[in-house]
Amino acid sequence: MTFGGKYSILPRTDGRFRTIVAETVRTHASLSYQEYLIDDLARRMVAAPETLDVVVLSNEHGDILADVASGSIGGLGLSPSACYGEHYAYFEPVHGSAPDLAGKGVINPTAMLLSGAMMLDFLGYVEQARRLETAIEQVYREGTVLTSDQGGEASTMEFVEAVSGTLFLKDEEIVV
Amino acid sequence: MNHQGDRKGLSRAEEGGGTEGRKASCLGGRYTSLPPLPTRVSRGASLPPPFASLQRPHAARATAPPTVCVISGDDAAPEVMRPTVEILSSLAPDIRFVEARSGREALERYGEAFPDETRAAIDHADCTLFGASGGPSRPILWYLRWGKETYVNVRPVHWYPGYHSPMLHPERIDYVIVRDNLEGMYPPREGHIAELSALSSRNFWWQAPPVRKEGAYAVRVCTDEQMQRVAIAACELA
Repeated sequence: MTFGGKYSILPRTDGRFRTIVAETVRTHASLSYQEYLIDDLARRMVAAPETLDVVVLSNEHGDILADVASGSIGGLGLSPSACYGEHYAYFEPVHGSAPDLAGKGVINPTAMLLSGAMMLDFLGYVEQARRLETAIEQVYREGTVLTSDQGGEASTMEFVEAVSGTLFLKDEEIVV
Repeated sequence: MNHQGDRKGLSRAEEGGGTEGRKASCLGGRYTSLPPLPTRVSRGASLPPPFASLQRPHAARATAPPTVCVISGDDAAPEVMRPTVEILSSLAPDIRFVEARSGREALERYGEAFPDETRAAIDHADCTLFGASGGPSRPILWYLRWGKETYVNVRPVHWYPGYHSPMLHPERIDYVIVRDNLEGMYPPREGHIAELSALSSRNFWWQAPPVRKEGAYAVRVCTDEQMQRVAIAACELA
């Protein structure tokens, strides 16, 4: 568990958050805790991401650094997101509405699909969520049907067909 | 373990007595009209955060299949939402997807970007699948966040082989950002800088704010309650 904030300068807000996170981690015996000033954490996301596991951030810090994180793996077209409350949840890709791509049929559906997988998890369809993620992973591993933001030439629907083909091909194999 | 039973004051759409309007639906021509108001069944008091149940198998799907509100959003977002719902529906055919109008489409049809029908669709579902807002759908997003009090945002950051990453060692990237979704500097609370002269705390600040100058301020708020539940959520996830 990693906490990032400007707790040195803002003791009552970020400092308080840091205290709360540290104390909460302490009540979970299996978790270890580390903390970094937010600027140092930003550097680490680029320089040493392998040191990060679960990263707790405030609203605006998380908003900004999540896009850094997204850029580091290959872009907003890949990044899913989920928001949970006590009574509700919603799932949306990190990317915006991409007005420049509207109507061209080229937008990358990976982020939306992975957000859908997070939704399946939430609703209890865990096996289906894993299958969807595995199918997407397989399409990227093969690398022949990728959208342009990922260096390919496939359209949105061509990518979708590749995922669905992989998904339901596996399904048949399992049944057999 | 039944994750739905684990959610506090569960508000899943329950099967009504009749079956009208209860057709399974997804995008692609089988839109369902909004279901009749469901009977809410309270599943009990003290329950753990919902995504603690991500680790728990779902046991009671047989009783009432979930309802998902689908809001495609603006611009290019519907182009990814449509095939996503098709795939999700193929994977889990008992999920009822209910599409609600948003943004520009809602403006044309209902005269407002966030019609009551859309709010009702959100409320009657177990969760919402949202595409992306290009501006017109923003009030919907704000309702999903602050209206439904979805207090924590989870963003997994995982590189798969084949992702077009600029990093030298993208395979090292595998973490999750858990972020406060409600407080800090959002929603914006801004005002004229002169207003700061009314704050009693100003006497303890190292530097007095320049209240006589033309300018603005923005506040950042953090409640113990919100910070605690975000921390707990993160630990549960870990």
